[in-house]
Amino acid sequence: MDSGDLEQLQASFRHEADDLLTDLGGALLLLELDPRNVEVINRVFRAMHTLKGSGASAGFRRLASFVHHVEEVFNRIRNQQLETTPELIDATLKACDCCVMLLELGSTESDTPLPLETEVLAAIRPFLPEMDKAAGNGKPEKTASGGLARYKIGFKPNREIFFSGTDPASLLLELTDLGEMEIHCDASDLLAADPFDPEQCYLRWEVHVETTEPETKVRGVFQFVEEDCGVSIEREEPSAAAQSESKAARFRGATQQAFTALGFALDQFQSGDENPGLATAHRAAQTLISACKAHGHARATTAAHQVLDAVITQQGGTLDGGWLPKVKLLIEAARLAVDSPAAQAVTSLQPASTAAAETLPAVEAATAAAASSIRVDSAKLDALMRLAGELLVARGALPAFAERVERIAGEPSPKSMAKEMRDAAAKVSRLADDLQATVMSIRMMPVRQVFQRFPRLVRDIARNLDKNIELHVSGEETELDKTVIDSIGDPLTHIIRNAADHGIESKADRAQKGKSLVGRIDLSAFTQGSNVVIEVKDDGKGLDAEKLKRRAVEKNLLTESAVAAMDEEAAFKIILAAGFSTIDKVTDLSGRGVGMDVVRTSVEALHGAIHITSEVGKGTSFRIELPASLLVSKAIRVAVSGHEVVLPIDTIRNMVKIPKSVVRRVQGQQIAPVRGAVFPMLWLAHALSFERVEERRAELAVAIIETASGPYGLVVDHFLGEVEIVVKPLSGVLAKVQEYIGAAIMGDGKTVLVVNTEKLFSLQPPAETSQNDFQVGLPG
Amino acid sequence: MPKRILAVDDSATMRQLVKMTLSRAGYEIVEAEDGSKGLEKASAEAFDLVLSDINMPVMTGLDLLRSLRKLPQYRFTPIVLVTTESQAEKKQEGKAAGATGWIVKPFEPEQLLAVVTKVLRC
Repeated sequence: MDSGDLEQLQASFRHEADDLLTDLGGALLLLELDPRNVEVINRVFRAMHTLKGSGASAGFRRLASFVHHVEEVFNRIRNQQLETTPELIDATLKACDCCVMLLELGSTESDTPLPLETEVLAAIRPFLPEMDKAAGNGKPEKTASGGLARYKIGFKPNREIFFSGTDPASLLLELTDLGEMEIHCDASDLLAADPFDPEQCYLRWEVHVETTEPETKVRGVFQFVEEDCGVSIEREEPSAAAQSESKAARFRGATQQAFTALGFALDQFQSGDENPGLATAHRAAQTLISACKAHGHARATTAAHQVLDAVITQQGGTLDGGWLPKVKLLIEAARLAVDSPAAQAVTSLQPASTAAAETLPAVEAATAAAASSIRVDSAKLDALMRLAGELLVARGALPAFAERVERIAGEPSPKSMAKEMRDAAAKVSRLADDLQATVMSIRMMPVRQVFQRFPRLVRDIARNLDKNIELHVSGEETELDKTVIDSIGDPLTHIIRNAADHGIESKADRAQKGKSLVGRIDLSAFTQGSNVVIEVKDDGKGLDAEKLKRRAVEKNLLTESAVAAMDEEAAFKIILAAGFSTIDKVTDLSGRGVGMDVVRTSVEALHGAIHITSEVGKGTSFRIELPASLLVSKAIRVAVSGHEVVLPIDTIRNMVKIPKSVVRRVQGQQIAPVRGAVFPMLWLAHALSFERVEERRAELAVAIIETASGPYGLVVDHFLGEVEIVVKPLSGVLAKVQEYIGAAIMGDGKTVLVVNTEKLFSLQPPAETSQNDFQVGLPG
Repeated sequence: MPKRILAVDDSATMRQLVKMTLSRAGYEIVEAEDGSKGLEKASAEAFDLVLSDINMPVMTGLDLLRSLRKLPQYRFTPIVLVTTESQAEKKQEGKAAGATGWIVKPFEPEQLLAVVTKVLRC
């Protein structure tokens, strides 16, 4: 295996190990609740088992040997020699953390144990009878080939041998690899068989083989059948003359065969059968290596290895068309080395092997690029590839058509051709749509990835603070864009930590209030329209709006008058302000006043919205609304005062025309009834400080906008139609302009501004609006 | 025609290692991530060899082995168990269920290739 392979394998193992460790973490928490659950114990064991086995195979030997110890503990639990205790769960969770570190160390692992490693091993030591057993069974045995020896082998297969998928003939053939042999078959049982069963084996053999291989290798031929079959192996003495003669002859024969096979393979390669040719070359090169090795011919072995390396590199697809001459040169060099033991074959190999080395940087670059990869369902990628292919074909029809038009230039262009062209264009755009949807779906990932870290978080907090807290998770399969997934973890961690730390009361407090001693946090995700909602609900002490307001004033975050005008939800949102903390005692978990403002900034950066509802004594609920995808969204183009802007479609409940006469003014706010409900009205021209063109129409075009703080009607001049946009956030000074989310690049390359419909209403001066008056009934 | 091998393992790393090693040597590899998926694929297509892990969710390698041996087309097919459990009892259980051989994890690619070459010789 070359270094590129190993890296690829290790990258793959890292991914797998992440999943295994997450699963392990989850299973351990379950086990803590239900210590004797056999299924969970098996799940824990299996995760460790795979971690160990695959880890060792991918070269993480230190990790494997560490996991081995912990696995031993669970093996004992599985065999009911041990009971699970909270201490053991603690130690095992720490072991998971340690595995994460060892994974990061990877193949650069040193021998000095990590402090955590030592700690975990010390913690589990009492649960183990002995700790000196290392993981795995190490490297394959490498035995030096000795002199020529002759063996007499008796082989009497079990009658049922065929039912184990073993053909005795294959074992006899395998013996021929060892050296020259003489074979006698004893068919007397076959003749005596009555009744004869063709599915039974009645034959037995006596074999004499001369080999330089050690006896273990001879015995190895029978490794899978030795226990069920009669196998006897005895050493016989060969004659000295036969020894050297047959050895040299065997070497000549074997290498000759290998070279013939190599020549055949290259012909095959050249005639277009590249892969079978390479596979043959691979096997032939391996044969050549073992022949040279068996003959103790170091130089020829090296040369043969270089042939094999070249074949492997080409199989990896990293070399160009110049491969064939290079490999021919290598084979020629190997032939020279084989023919004359003292030849300078090695020096002539240099140019070709340097060329092979040049391909290495490319492999490394490819590996580095893979580091930031995401894993996707291969079916999705296949669909993408197919669509891309179709798109290319469909696009190809257009130039061909243009050619036809050119050829008949001069004639009036027939209508049917115009139709054909339109059809082709329509097909292209349909395919482009599908392609885009597929690409988007590739980016969609389940929130499980983020959610799965929280059971452990809540458990640790609960254990630290001596609280009982249950975390209920639902909707883990809800999908979000990868960008959102990547940035939602931190804010959610803060909210959940806050809920566990400050929301849920101590056992004593809960008992005093007559609440269940077990606190509950609900974490759920679900889709609502084009948004994904993530909710964190606790049944703790709730937020006290008045206390929050007082605190904000004390900390000089807000003025008296500002807090006085605040409604309840606005007051709750004070906890999301930078530098705010209601807790006097700072715990190591939360309460330093940093953190919750991260929630606000992260969610805003994702174009999301937060709502907080809370009731003193009952609990608090955080609701985060996020766009499911950030890439492409639909929007409505609107005209306002001669300008064109777009409104994100996900905030628009519906679009209506209403008679201008129904608009009334109540407490300084213009309102209008739309389909039975009454909405506050906002003139887009006014909100964006455009010069208001006097409207002479009797009807108003109104978009009913859904926002976190309630709906409102947005009055525009005209609706111009739906459009798909890619939103780019504004940068520099413009980033501070809150009226817009960003700029959108339209299909025709034109740039328009995207209105921040979510915030637009609340940006209006408070004198004119009050958020609490949203749903006032019309008098009369 | 390259020989076709069904590799059954719940660990993607192990499947990748197997695929990498054996496809280089000219074999065609089909992967399955547990016993029942393996059984499904084995029933639908023909394989010259089945390589299976023992400890897997849904259906273990031993159960897969027993189910395969009941299918007429797999009565004599080589089936090799891949496992970390080198203990005699697992080998015995595997042998009794009709395993052709076994390979113990962790193994070097050459060891795997040696076992596969061995059981696929005919």
